[in-house]
Amino acid sequence: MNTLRVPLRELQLDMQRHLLGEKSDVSAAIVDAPPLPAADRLAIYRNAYQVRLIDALHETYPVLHGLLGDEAWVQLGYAYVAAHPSVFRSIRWYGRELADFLAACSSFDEAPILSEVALLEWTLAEVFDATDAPSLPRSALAAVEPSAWGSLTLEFHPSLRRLAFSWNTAAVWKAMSQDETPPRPEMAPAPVRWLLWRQNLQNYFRSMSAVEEAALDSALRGRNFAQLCEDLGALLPQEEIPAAAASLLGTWADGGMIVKVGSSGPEVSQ
Amino acid sequence: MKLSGFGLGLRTPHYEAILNEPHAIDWLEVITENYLVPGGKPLAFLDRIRERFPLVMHGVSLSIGSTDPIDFEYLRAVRGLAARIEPHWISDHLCWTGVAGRNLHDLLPLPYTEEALATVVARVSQVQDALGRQILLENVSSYLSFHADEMSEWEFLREVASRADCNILLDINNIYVSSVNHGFDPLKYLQAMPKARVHQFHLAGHSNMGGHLIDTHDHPIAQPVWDLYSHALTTFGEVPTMIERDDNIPELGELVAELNVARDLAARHSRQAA
Repeated sequence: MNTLRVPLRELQLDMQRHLLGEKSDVSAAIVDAPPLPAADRLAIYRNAYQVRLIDALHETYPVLHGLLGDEAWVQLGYAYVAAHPSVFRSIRWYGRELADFLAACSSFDEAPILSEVALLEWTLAEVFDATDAPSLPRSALAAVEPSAWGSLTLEFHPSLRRLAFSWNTAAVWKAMSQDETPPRPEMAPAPVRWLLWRQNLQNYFRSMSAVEEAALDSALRGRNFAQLCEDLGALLPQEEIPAAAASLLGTWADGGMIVKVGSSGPEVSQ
Repeated sequence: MKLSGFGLGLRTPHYEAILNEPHAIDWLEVITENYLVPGGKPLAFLDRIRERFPLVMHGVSLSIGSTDPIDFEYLRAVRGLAARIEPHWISDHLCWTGVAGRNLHDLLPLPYTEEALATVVARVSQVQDALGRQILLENVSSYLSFHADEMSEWEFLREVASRADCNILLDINNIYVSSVNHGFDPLKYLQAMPKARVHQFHLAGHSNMGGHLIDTHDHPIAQPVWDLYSHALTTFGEVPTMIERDDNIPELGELVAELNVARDLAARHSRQAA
């Protein structure tokens, strides 16, 4: 190949292949002169590429890094970087598939909590810089006319996320992020639902009861308050439902999770 | 109002100190991509900082030298951020960062050929049209060069600026790093720059690997870079100057002290020139 006449496109594709660790002829196009041979010059870029992406993973996954320890972390980093070239304009989004990668990776799949920790850290990053929206104060709910409650619908803060963990993932994350010794990984008797959101620029997360999970699911699907109460029918005695549901709405409002109330008929369907 | 004086690259660990401590920082440079996020703390702090300081935007993924199609969605986002914070200018690097939809997140060197020149010039024009303003292009540190080169890096940069009618962000440390890695005279580079187009200087630290240098931004500025800055002041007069530190980030006060070294050097030069 005459390297002097390679079109720019070909040269860039070839150099990119080299940096990605694929077969490439680009070294023939590189000047070999002191202070460094061509191979060493290329190696600076190849090495920097991998190190930079692994550093970016650390920014998003500091607890996962801590759990694995440096050696296993770097091993995971190189494997992930090899499998996932970046397609993102901003390095902030690099690492999006790490939880799935861990779940599918045979060398890590003996510890499935790692994948859940990765999912938690990625979701926390999403919550951190999700779209802004002013929260509705609880007083806005109190101002809703009693006759309008049945058709009341809710719009939630864009940062709101839900996760289900089969392991004591949140406890491990909390201990690690406070520099404490984490509890041993333990599988929960049943998956636990978690709620994550941002209030006043601060990330929060907590577990949800089955009732709250059902109510939130209903509200997020655009069901009005009467329908939401209907959806709780299988979980609570009828007479307890309206008060329990109203109390949940109050809790959501206090957490800054509600940004808008609306209305959708029919007002009462039972 | 024209931007002047001495600035720093805005980094997350300094948010509180920038807002709450007394310091002599005239303006701040923000990494564009760090604020192309939907919302939350980064943009909230940026808005507060913007109330108090003039800003310039500095991008890392324009990929002006790539042979991929221009990413107009990215440019719309950049323009949107510019509308929000009204920077004095928007800069990025004379390099490519990836092809075929990939982003290598590195500032990769171009071959300095007529073909690459035509590619960059055409793209700068499209970018300036899309952003509705002139941009500044920065020279990058490089560790390799191509047999295909038909001109020097400084001739290439000068031609890009002149043909595409864009301005130049001259990184003094990058000139020095590349001069060691490729064995050229850094003064030649300075002297080749069109004075009227040089709108900003970058200063930064590098790592000395023995025979070659790496642009790591994790050290104080090295003496040879201060010496080259001194030459730049003689050549261009006082140009808005800032320090970049991306790793091993010290307390704000330490960077402000380093910035004062630049300030004193510039003052000495302007007294000598008077």
